[in-house]
This record gives sequence, C-alpha cells and structure tokens, in this order.
Amino acid sequence: MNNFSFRQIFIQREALNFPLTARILARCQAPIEIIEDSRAIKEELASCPDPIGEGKKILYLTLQKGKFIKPCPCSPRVISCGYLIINSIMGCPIDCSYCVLQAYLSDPWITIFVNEDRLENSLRFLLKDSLPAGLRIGTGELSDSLALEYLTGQAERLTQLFYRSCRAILEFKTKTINIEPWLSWPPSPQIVFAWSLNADTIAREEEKGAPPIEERIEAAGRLASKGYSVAFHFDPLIYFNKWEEEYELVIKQVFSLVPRELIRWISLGCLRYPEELRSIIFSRFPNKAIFISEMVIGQDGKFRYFKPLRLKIFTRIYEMISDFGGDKIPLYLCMEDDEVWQLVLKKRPAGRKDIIPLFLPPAIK
Amino acid sequence: MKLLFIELKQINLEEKKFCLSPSLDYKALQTSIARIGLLIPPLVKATKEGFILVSGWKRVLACSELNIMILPVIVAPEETGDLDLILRVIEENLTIRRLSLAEKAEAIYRLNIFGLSKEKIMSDFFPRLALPQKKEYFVLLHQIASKGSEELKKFLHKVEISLEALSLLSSFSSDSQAKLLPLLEASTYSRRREIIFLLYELAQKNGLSINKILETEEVRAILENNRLTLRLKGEALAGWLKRKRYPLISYWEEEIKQTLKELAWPEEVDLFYDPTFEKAELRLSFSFQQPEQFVQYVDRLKEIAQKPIFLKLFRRTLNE
Repeated sequence: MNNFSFRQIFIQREALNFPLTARILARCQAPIEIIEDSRAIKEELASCPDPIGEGKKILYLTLQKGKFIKPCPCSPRVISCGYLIINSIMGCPIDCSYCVLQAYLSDPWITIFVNEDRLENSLRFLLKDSLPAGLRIGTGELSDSLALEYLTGQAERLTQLFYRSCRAILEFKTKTINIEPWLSWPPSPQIVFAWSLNADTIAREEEKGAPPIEERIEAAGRLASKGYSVAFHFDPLIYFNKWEEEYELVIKQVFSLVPRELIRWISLGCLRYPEELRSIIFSRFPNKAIFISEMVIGQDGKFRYFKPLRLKIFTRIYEMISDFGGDKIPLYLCMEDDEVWQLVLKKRPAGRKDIIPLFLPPAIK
Repeated sequence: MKLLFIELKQINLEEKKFCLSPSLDYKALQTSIARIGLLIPPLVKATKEGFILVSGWKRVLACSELNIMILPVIVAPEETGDLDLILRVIEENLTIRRLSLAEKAEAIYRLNIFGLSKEKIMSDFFPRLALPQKKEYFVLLHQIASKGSEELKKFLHKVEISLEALSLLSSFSSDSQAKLLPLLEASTYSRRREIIFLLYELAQKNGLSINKILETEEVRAILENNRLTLRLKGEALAGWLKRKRYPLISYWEEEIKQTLKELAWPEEVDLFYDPTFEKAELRLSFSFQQPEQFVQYVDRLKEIAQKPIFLKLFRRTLNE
C-alpha cells in the first residue's frame, strides 16, 4: 500500500458537507483551508518554482458541475477504442516525466469532485441504458485509479455499482499496488484491474512515486489468484538502448505470475506528447534523454517516433507477447491509425464497433 | 513636486537607477525638440549631490545634443522613495508604449530591489506587463536584469522572443550568447526560436555544451562566412542544426530531392509527400489546358515510373 503525503487541503465552501469530504478529512492529516474558489490555490502556486510538482501535494475538494462521464478524447485520424472516462479526480500524485496531464490539465493541483452521489446516479442511469456490451469505463485517464483510494474509497463504491452490470466494464488503471480491499471480495468479470507497465529502467527513472514494476506485476498476480480479470498497458513504450531485453523481461514476468486466461486485454502505445508538453519537460526534467529522440509532429500535433520505428517496436513487443502468452489475449494499439493496426496486428478495425467486442468477458465472446 | 528651470549639467546622468532601457534611440525626438522645443519636462529627484534623472532620458539626451543647456524639470523632493519614483517611471511608460523584454526585466528587478515583494510584483505587474504569472519567469527576468550581459539586454530591447526560448538562451554561456546574438537578432521570431531549441536539444542529445557545438568546424564555417548576411547565417545554422538533430528525416528529405533530380522530374509537376512520413501516399499536381498537354505529362510520368530509381520515392525504412 503506498500513501502519498499532502501539504494542504483546500475545500471549496460548497463542498464542505459531503460524505466524501468527511472521509478524506478523516484520513488525511494535512492542514485545511476553506476557500470560495480555486483562485487562492492558483495564486499560491504561481510563486512556486515548480507549480506542477508542488500541485501534486495539494488536494482541492470541490463539486463537479459538468459531466462526470465523457468519451476519451483520443486523437483525430486514429482508431479509437471507444473508452469512456469518469472525471471524478483530476491530477495524479505520481510524477511521471512523460505524463501528458502536465500539459493537458489547466490546474496543477489534484482536484477531487466530492459530489459522488451525482456521479453514481449518472452511472446507474448509464448502466440501465443499452450500452454496447464490452464498453469500458475507467477512472484512470485523468488520474491514477487507485493512488488516492486510501483517502476516497471511491473505487470500492464504483465496484459495487458495476458488479451487477452485464454490459459495461469498469477498468481501474493504476501504477500502484493498492488492491487490499478487493482481495476479500468475490471477483466479477465486469471489474478489471489494469496496470501500466514499462521497462524497469524507465519505471525507475521516469515514474517518480510509483512502485517498482515487479511489485505491480505481483499485485496483478495476487488479484488474479482470487479470480479477478486483469489487464496491462505497455504505454508509453520507449525506445532506448536496452529496450528489447528489458521489455522482454517484464513480459516474461507478467506471464510467469498471471494466468494468461485472466488477462483481458493488453494495450500498446509508443511515447508521444503534445508540443505544449515539450517546454514543461525541458523545465521540469532538463536532462531526460528519452525526449531527445528523433520524433516528428503527427497530424494530431503530437510528437511521435517515426512510423517505421513505431512499427518495429510494436511488432517486436507483439511477438514477445505472443511467444510468452499465446495469441488469444486481445491486443490493441493506443492512438494509432489503421495502417499501423494492419501492419502490426494484421487487422484493420472499422471503428469502435469492431473494437469494443474485444473487451467482452471470455464467457460472452 | 515643483517645476524648476535648471542647468543640464546639474543632472547626474551617470546615475541610472531609474533608467529601464539598455539603449536609447532619441533621434526622432531630437528633431522634434529642435523644431518646437521640449514639451514635457523630465522628472528629476533632488539629492544632496544634485539632481538624479528619473524619467525623460531621451528628452534630456536630445537636449544635450542640441546644446539646450537650461531645462524645465519637475523635481521630486529628496524624501520621495525610490519605489515611488520607479512606479512613476513604469506607469508613465506603460500608458504610452509597450515595454521591451529588457525593460520589463529591468522594471521587475528595480521594483524588487526598491522593496516590492516577488508575490506583489507577480500579482500586480505581470498581467500589466503581459507576462504569465509564473515564478520561473520572475526568476528569469530578475536574473537577466541583475546578471545578464549588456549585449543580451540590448538584444532583448530590440527583438521579440518567447519566454521559453529566452529561458534556454539564458542558460547558454556568455561566450555562446555572444556568438549567437547577432544572428538571432537578424533572424525572424520563429527562426530564432528554432535555432535556440535545436541547439539546446542537440546539446542534450549528444551530451555536448552549446559552445562545443558552436565551435565545430561546420558551424564555424557558417558563422565566419563573410559572404553570408547575418540572416543567411541564421538560416544556414538552423539547417545544419536540423540535419544533426533530425538525421533520419533530413536524410529522407535529401534522398527524395536527389531522386527527383536523377529522375529528371518535370518542374511543372509538383510532387507532395507527408513531411512527417506518417502517410505513405504521394500526391501529384499539374495544370494543363489542352488534351495533348495532359497526354504529354502522363507519358512523361509513365516513362519515369519505368526507371528502377522511381521506387526510391516510396516507403522509407529504418535500414536506409
């Protein structure tokens, strides 16, 4: 279990009388300040040399007044996996150098929307609807799904909602090992725990605050031993000196600890980042060699490796997964066009309707 | 404050603590004063040693050039604080013109040393100076005003540059800055940014100092080439840096150019390819007025397509 320390909790006055606020305050000892809106935090962080780093130590409890559930933004002209994201927490206490949230989120602090009753009602409504079977909904796009679970207990509550869903799948995407609550619950095919994995060197050097890869795989193995479905995201795959041997070691380790039939999906994505992130990286991580590779700006405005290099990386990783795990595990590519899909995975999905069924529980497929 | 007529020599022009500009161009003002005289009296502060000039530097220097020895001035009493006076200088300038980045840096530095806190400067002055309210920019501009070379300040007084690029430029050694500033000054805004970022990234990529890169034979050949104007030197340097920073993409671009040459590609037919090489498609464009003209182009292109080297225009691979 890894907990993070916060130096201050700001609570918007409107968010004071919510059960989630009370739960967080009972579990976190940081000083509290009640504010009318986030301007005070903005001003405080403006004088910090590293507002993004400092923002990771600040919690802001407020109300979500917009939509809690939105389609994953993806990128234009690539094949979308049809993911829905739950905007209940924005910002992450783990400090990964490559994290796009540094540029994507306008506020550097961690915002927790405490009106969870509204979120749960939106989800109940959505789950009643005729959703395509296999549609995935997750909390791990704008934050780590389990990093703040020790404060919020939110993942546990969402688990209860999805237990009886027979169509949508709830995915908890994490780099942490905060899985204890679920070890004593019976598994459900509608709940999938997914780990972001990387080569050991990359995890050590670029994922500050995240547990080592070995511990993440062990956590997946523990949940799998209880019958839970798990998934893995090799994203971002990074091209460095020992990339092949290091990724191979991780993939071997995964299949030695997790039965392949419980792996619901694996995604692959190569390092990519929007131009706005470049100056943030230069200022926050000035000597990181991984960002100095030869990259091009794609049609979506993101820096990427050349297509031939991406093809080489994807093809090799796909071979490793097939060698150690067989060819039954659904694989998909994140933010890649149909040509890359065809060349790597030998299929060219027409869109979400072809991809969503990939994620169905094995019994339904 | 009172209006007095004083002799120009009573003003201590060596004391520049209220002067924001690293260089003063007052030729146009001098012509105007010669025609119709001084319209607005400069502001000075009375001290035991004489008068210190607070605002109106161009006016005073123009009068000096014109041998106008008696000037009307507004005198701030000795007890007026430096912070009060620098605030007047900033207000006076901000209402009539945009400050250069060098002047903004100086304004920030002076406000701070005359007693205004970093937080107050950022909250009250950064928006008015059109600066993002970030501490890193406070530190950057403060350092430039307090420790930056005169050349860098003069450069920032003359040209626009993004704060991200300035932040990288200010991390370069003074030797490197001295070599780069003249050609950066002659370059366009985007070329300036490109050169600075490419230099920084190349230094990171190869583990070299910026100065080491500028000392390489190829770069020296560009910088010391007297047949090139400063602007062309900037273009040549950007091109060289791009080839070193992006060797593969540069190689592919060069190869396409070379292939078209070897194919004797008709000039009237434009060939378009994705500059990022993400898409494999190539596109052609040509104009024609008569059916025969169209057939001629098609025949010519068919002929080209028979040559083995034509295949070089297609899919790039890492093995090349």
